[in-house]
Amino acid sequence: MAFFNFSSPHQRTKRRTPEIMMLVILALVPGVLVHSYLFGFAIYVQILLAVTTAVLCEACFLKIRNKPILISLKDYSAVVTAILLAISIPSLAPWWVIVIGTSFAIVIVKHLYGGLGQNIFNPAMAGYVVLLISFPVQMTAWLPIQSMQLFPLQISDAFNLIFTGSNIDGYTVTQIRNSIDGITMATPLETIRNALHTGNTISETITTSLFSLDSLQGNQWVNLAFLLGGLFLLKLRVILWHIPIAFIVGMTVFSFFAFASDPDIYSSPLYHLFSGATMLGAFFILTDPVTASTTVKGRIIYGLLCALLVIVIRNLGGYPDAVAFAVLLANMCVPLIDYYSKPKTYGRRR
Amino acid sequence: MKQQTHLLSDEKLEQIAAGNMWDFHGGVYPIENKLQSNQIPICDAGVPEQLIIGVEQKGNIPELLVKVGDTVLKGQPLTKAYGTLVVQHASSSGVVTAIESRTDCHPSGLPVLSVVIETDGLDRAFPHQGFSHYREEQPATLINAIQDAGIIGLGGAGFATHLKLLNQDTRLLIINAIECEPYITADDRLVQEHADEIIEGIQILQHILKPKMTIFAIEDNMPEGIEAFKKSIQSLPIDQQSQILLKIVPTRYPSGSAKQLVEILTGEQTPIGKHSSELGIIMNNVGTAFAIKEAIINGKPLVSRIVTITGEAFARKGNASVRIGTPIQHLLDTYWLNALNQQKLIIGGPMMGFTVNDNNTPVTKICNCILAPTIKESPAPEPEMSCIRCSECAEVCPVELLPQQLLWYAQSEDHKKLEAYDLNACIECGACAFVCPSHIPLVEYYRVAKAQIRTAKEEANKAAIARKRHEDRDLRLEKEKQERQLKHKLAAEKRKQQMKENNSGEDPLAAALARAKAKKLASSNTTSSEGEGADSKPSTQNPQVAAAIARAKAKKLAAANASEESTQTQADSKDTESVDPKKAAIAAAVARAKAKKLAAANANEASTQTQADSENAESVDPKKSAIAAAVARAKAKKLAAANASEASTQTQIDSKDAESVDPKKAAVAAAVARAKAKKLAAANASEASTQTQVDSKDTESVDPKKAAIAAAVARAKAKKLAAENAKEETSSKADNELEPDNSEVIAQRALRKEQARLHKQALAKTQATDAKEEPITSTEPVNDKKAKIAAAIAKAKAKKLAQKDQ
Repeated sequence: MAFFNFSSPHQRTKRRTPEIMMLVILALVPGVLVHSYLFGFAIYVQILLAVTTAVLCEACFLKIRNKPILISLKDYSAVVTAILLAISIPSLAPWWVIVIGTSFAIVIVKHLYGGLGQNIFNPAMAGYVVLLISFPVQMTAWLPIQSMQLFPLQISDAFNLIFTGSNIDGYTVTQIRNSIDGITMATPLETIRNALHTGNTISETITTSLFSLDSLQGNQWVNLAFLLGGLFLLKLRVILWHIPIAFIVGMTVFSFFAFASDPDIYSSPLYHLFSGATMLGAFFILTDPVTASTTVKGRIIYGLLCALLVIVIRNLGGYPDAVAFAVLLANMCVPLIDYYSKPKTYGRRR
Repeated sequence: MKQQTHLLSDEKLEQIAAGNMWDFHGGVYPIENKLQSNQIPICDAGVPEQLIIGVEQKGNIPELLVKVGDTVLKGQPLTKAYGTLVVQHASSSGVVTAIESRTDCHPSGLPVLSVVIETDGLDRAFPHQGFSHYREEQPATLINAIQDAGIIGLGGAGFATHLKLLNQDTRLLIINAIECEPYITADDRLVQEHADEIIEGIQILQHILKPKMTIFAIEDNMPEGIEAFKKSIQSLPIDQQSQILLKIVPTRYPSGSAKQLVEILTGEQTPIGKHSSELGIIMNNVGTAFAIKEAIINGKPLVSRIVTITGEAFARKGNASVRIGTPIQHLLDTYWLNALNQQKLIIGGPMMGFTVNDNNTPVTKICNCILAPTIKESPAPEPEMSCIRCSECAEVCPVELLPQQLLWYAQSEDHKKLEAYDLNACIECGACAFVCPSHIPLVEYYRVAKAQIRTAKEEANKAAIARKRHEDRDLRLEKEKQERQLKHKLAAEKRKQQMKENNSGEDPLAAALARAKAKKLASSNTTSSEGEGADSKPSTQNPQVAAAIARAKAKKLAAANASEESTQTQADSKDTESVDPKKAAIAAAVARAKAKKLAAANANEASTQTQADSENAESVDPKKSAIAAAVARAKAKKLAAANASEASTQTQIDSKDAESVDPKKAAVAAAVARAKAKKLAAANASEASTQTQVDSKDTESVDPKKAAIAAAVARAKAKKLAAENAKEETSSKADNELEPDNSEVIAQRALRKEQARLHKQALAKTQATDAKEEPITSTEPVNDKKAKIAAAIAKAKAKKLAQKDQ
């Protein structure tokens, strides 16, 4: 009788890579729901576009690289990348923006570096940065929250705006972005930056009714929703606590130092934590295992480094938000961090 | 010093006694699946028809005590114990049918030398004697008994127990009853059923090792075992109860691994690449403790072990006492295996066990479980996906490795990096592969990488050895070459020296000149002898008278030689050429030696010379020769003295001959002079027959000149005499054959001596008659003949010299 030969272990945990990716997608649901509730349904259109593009690109490149297409597609890693990119960009950006961004992320950043597990840079963030640099106008066309929108948007409007640039009624994105009182909306981070440029202090800016009512509120809610999703991932051990905790703690500490030094110019820690892409970054972007540090100490260093970069760029740099840049810069440091944060093997403790 | 720092401190032992427990990094929680087998009592698996007992241990083949056809009994030793190897025993009675290579119960499935026993089913036991009072025995005796009982670590690694027990300064003895692998319940059942025996085994170990503390470590998922053990402990005398500390360890894989258990119990880590004995910790499996009790108390060698037979593919499950060497097929039949498609048969647990595909693989001492899972229980591995560096593996690694990095380097075969990341510290527990979401068989990668590194190292080693060997060879060859060259050089020098000696220290030029002179002399001799012959014709002289005259002449010549010697010395001193004192001394010594030799040779030489020079030299000749020899000796001595004192002025003797000769020649010349004198005497003997005034006058007037010429001739002769002895003279007389070979020369010399003696006798007779009968007729031809002979000799000598020069 011939028996089958296998290598030990002969038992395995049930969790597999596709499941991990699916859990990540699931954890994004609260954030996306809140986002679409506050800013309209356009985000779904963007997600749809991004996922389609990502899957097509992935399939094409798997084919070109002679890899098993179905198995690799089933790991859903491309889908996660696409969704992260889609929720990072302004929801009314033209269709080609997300297509270009996703294609770049999947093809250049991921596959040209060797596919899943081999890429140095976070694909979603690299795609985002490419878009931000290439298409600054489209990439800063943020919407006010729905309650403040001059022309409340339906799903069909979203489709039309994204694909044709104007809605059924013929209003352009620029027109739609105007809020009820006729002021072009930006993200809270942008608002503060612009206010600072015009000589206002932060306290003056955030106490304006406009600011406190719309953008800030909206962003806070979205951030809270992502935090919820993140906690869900932590609970299920899909992600490990080191990076998000280090990042959040780092953000708090570093922004506190800045805030303490000059509260008129630098925002408060709380404000930093719940604006921009802080929570999305902390739980979904920085924790991309492929591009993050792989050791325990390394992950903490990585989280702190990202936090530092975010605070520095937000407070001193030319861009309103900085998670994408911070992540890419930290990605570059990962091999170094990993090398120097190697844990002591059993028996080397003495 | 370092050894001391690693040993567990007393404070640490106190902490342990106080109930402290530590933790190890990582670990996983696989489904335990222990209930299937841990409720069923241990039963005997029965005697199989055939037993295959591997006797090869870790590549070593011990001396066998049985041969094919032998009848063996259960427990009979099959091998001799030596060094690290334990005795292997027959596990049932029967007949040895084969001793050959059979598949081993090992992941490699490679064959090892095995004794195959056809059992008779009677299971007759070999008589053994245990120690009824082991406490009175020396530990060494018990350790030997344990080795003879064939006891090795029954936990998995199979390390020879007696080697562990040789440890000195044991701080902590740990009895490992932690079966962290899922499914396996062999130790669990053993503790449940044999707690008393195990405790006895522990006490034996305590007696041998004398540890400061003994811990019995058991997992919290074995409540029945814990209960049974506690009960047994309580039945002990009070003072013994406290000697064994029970530690219940939380269930987690791989807490049963030696290193991890050490960390759990002591908080210390075994230094990398070291054994836990470095910390003063000796760990033994609970099964080993049981086996030790059996061996020491009951005298039973280790012939069977408890094996868990489990997995859903078995219709019956449970633990069995299986005889070592039982083919797995016997157990599959006994426990009703429902073999399925793609059936896996795992030896060991699901985490670290290996699959076998030969159902005749025998059960060995380290085989603790036979697991036949269904596909559902242990599905075929899913296709491997890319590593997403999720770090789950690093999180669970009990050795705190970075499996994801190791995988990266293993795939790129970066051996240096693998070693830098401590691949060798990997215990292959499988926790990383267990949690890997991408289903990467990490352990397999590491095993391959380890094997590659090992192979590479072996090859590098081999290459280093080969290189060393090559270098050594080159060195040796070079040395040999140099030695050879030196030898050649020495030989060449020796040859040169010999040649010089053969030429009596003369260089070829001198030899050539001597040759030329010899020729000249020969011609002059011929003419003179002819003239003399003409003169001698009319006169007839008594040989006696001639002899007397010759003697007188010889004396005169000797005197002349003496004076000549002094003149020579003077001439020498006049000579500008100077020789260093050393050389002169050597020359003097040589001359002395030669003179001696000549003197010695004189006896036969004389006879030969009689042959050579003239037949009518008669009996005077030897005497004269002796005189001449004495003269030569005296001269040589004088010369030596002169040489010693006047070394700087000492030069060639025959400067007037325009012949450059070294001082040695002075001595030679002396000998030569003697020889010449001899010859002259001989010649004179014939000449004397005429006894004319002219002749004598001639001789007189000629004397200085003649002496010089004679010296040259004699030199050539003496040269030859010294170097080749008189034999050659005889042989050269006959023809020009030459034998430079020494041994032959010696042999021939002996022969020649004899011949010369005989010849002398004969000659004396003939000469006596000759002289009586035909004095004139005999003289004339003799004279003529003599001259001719002299010429021939000179020629021969010249030729010989020429040959030698070549």
